[in-house]
Amino acid sequence: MTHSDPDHDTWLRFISGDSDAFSDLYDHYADVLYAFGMRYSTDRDLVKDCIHDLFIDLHSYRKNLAREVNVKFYLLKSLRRKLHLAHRKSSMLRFDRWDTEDSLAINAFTFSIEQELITDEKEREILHHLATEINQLPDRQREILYLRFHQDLDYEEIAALMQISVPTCRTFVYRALKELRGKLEFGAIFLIMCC
Amino acid sequence: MKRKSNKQEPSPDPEHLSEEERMAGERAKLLFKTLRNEKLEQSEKDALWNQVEESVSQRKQRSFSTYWIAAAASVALLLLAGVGYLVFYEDSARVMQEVAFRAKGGPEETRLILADERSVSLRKENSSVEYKNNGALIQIDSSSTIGQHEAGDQQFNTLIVPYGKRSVLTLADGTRIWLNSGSKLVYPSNFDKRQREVYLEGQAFFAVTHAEDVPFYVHTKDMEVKVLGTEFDVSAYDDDPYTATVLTKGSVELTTQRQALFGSKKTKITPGTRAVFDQGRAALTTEQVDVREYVSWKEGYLILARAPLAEVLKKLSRYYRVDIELKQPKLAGVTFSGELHLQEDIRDILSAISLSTGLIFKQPNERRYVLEESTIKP
Repeated sequence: MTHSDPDHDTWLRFISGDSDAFSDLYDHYADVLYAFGMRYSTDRDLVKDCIHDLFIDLHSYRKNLAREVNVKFYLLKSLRRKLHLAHRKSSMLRFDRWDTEDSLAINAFTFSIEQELITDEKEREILHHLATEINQLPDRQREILYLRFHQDLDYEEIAALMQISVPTCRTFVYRALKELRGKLEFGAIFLIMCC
Repeated sequence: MKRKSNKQEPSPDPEHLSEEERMAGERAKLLFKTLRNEKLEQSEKDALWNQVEESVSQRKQRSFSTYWIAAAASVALLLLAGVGYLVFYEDSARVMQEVAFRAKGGPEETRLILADERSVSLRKENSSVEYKNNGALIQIDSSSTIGQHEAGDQQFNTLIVPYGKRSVLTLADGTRIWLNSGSKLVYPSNFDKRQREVYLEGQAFFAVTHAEDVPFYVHTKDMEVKVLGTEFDVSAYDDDPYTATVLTKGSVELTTQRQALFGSKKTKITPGTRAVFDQGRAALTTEQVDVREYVSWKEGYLILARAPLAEVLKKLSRYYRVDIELKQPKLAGVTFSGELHLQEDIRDILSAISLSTGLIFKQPNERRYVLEESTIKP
C-alpha cells in the first residue's frame, strides 16, 4: 500500500501536533465514520458520541499513534470497537437482551439500484433479488461483503477489523458468494416461472 | 486503494471462483456501490466538532454515554447500599438517639439513669457525676458513691439536666463534659475499645481526653463531631433551628446529615471557628468567633457582644427555668452587650438588661417575666 495520498500527509501532520490537521481529519472523515457507524446502530446520538470519543482519543494519544497506517481503515476499526463497547454496555443494562452474545450486528442494507443505469430489465430483477439475498446472509458474512465492496478494505484489513484470521475472512467471502450464487440460480428459476 | 494479490488457499481465492460465483461477486460489488448512507447534516457535523474541541480543551476523555452508565450504576449502588444501611444497620448513634428519646427526667432535678434502669436524682443546681475505677464506681456530687454493675455491650447511661440546672460529668477516660440546662447526654456505660461515642440533645462543653486510636464522637440529631482530643462546645437544642459547634482547641471533623444518604458532608474546623448547621436550609456555615461568648456559660457567666435580645432571653430562660416574654416582638432584634453573671438572681439580671436596653420588666408570677417598652420616655 502506498502512502502518498494527501490523507496520509494530514495524518502525519496531525501526529506531529498540527491542530489544523486535526480539524482537517475530522472534516474529511466525520461523514464517512457517521455513515459507517449508522450501519451498526440506529441510535444517531450514540454514533455521534462514539465519533466524539474517537476524536478525543486520537487527540489524547496522538503522539503514540502509528505513522504508517491506512487512515480510513484505522478510523473505521477504532469506531467499530467503540460501538462494540457501547453496545455491550447497553446490552448489559438491558436484561432482555443478554443472550445476544454481545455481537455487534450490521443492519440490513438499503440498496438503491435505481441510481444505476441498468437498462436490462432482467439484470435489474436479478439485482433486486440479490439485494434481498444479501440481507438474508448471516451478519458476519454481510459485514465482510460490506467492508470489502463498499469500504474497499482488503482481506488483511477486514480480518483485523473483525478480529478474525485472514483465511477465515477469505472463506467467509467465498462462502457468501457461493451462497448468493446458489440462491440466485433458484431465484432465476423462480423468476422464469413467474414470467 | 490497491487490492492485495491473493496467493495461498486456492479454493476461497476470488480468482479461482466459478463463473457464477464471480458474477455474484460483481453484482454484489455493483449493489454495494448503490448503498444509501446515513448522512450527517452540516449543522450536526459542526456541532459535533465543537463538542470535540471543547472536550479536547477540557482534557475530558470520557464519553457522555459512559458518564451516564457510570452515574446510573453508582446511583443504583448507592441506593442499594443506603437501603441496606437503613434497613440492616442500626448504628450506635441511632440506638443512643432512641435511648435519649425514651429517657424522661423530671423538671426539678437532674437525673442519672443507669443501664440497669436504676435512676439517681441529683438535687444540686450544679451537680457533678464522676466515673471512677474504669467506670465501676460513680461518684455523685463528691458526696455519695454508687457502684455500676458490669454491663454487656450496648448498655447506655443517660444524664438528664432540666432547665435551671447544670451538671459536670467526668467519664472513665477522663473526658469532662459540662452539660448546660435543658440537656440530655447518652453515653455507653463502658466505652468501646475502638471508639468513644456519645449522643447529645441540648448544649454541652467537651474537654475530651486525647486518645490517638480511639476517636471520640458526639452525635446530635443532625451533626456528628469527631475528635481525638480537644475542647469544644456543641449546641443542639430541640427548640433551636440549628446545631452549632464552637472549637476552642485542637481540631474536629464535622459530619452533617449523616442519615440523609446523599447529603452527608464532612468539614474540618480549626480553633476559633463556629460551625452552624441550619436545619431549614440544610446547610453548614462556618464563621470566626470569640469563643468565650459561646463557652463562658460553663463558668457561670455569659459574655454577650451585640447579642440579639431574643437569643439572650432564650438562654436565660433555659438557665433559670423561667418564661421570659418580650411584649413587643420588634424588640427581639435589639442587641445587648456585656457580661451576665449567672449566679445572680434572675431579677437582677433582667433589671441589668432592662437598664441597658431602655426596657422595663414585670413579674406576673414566680416563673414568669415580661419585658416591654418603657412608657416613660427618657
